[in-house]
Amino acid sequence: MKTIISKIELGDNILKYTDVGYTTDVDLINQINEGYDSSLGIFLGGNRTKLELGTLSIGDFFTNTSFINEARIQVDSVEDTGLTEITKISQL
Amino acid sequence: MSIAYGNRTSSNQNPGGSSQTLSVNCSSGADNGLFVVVTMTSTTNFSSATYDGVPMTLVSNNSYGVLSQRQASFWLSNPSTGTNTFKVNFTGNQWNSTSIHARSFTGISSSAPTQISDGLSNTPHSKNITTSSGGVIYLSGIGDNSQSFGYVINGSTRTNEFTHNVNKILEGAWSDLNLPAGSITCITKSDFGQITNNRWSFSEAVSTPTRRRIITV
Repeated sequence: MKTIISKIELGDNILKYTDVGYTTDVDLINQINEGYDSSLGIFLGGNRTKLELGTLSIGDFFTNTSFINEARIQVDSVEDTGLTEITKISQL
Repeated sequence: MSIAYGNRTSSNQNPGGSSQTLSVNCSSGADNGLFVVVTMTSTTNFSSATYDGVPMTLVSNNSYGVLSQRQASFWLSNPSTGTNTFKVNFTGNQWNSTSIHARSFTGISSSAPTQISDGLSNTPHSKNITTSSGGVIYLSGIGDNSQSFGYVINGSTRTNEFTHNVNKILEGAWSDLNLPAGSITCITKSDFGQITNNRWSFSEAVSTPTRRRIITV
């Protein structure tokens, strides 16, 4: 299985996902997801109710952050996707 | 024609909006089909799903109130092959991570799978579902606790496909190919406590015999 790396940005007051590559490197996957969990993950977990009620905007997270990556899609095939393999976090 | 498993896609991401998209690769071959299960916190509900813009059939939409979870499944016969977009729509914004598991097939019946859902029961949670000869089964369990053991389908311990965090712990497993006809035992397992048991039975495509009329002149 290959793991797709997603780029998460601010859409129209929603999260916008773009697939940017794939990897099979477990260490890289963990590094990417630890970055997500310690930033956007914490924001979403701590503000879920406010986001649901509309008293907080997801845009507040992206005030000082343009994007964040996540690696939580597993696929058998990347055929037709045009995605290239990512081996280092500096490629993102 | 025998069922063959095609490509799988599994996602555990936060939609952060009222819909979620995922690139899904469908294998090519005769009598192909696409099955997708979406599981999420029940802060909102499912409204519809499409693949490559084609509406998918809603097979099931189960609510597990004690767990605050919803699990819906969708089916499409003869989907576009290659990589296309699966899109699921919600009735409102979803700010909790969802689980999406998609699998394509060839040699599968055009009819949607049959499905039976049972809520929480002590682990191991054993239930049955009927299959036709050559069928396959998908088994899914949601619970509060870790699931370190493979599910058991027709006496065979499976390697579960994934562990997803949907504010609860969710796993899923596929059976061997070519199950026998009859009532098949499906067991979900958590390390302790209770777990749900949601199962789907798929049938192979029926070969239509060619009929020839012989006219003697």
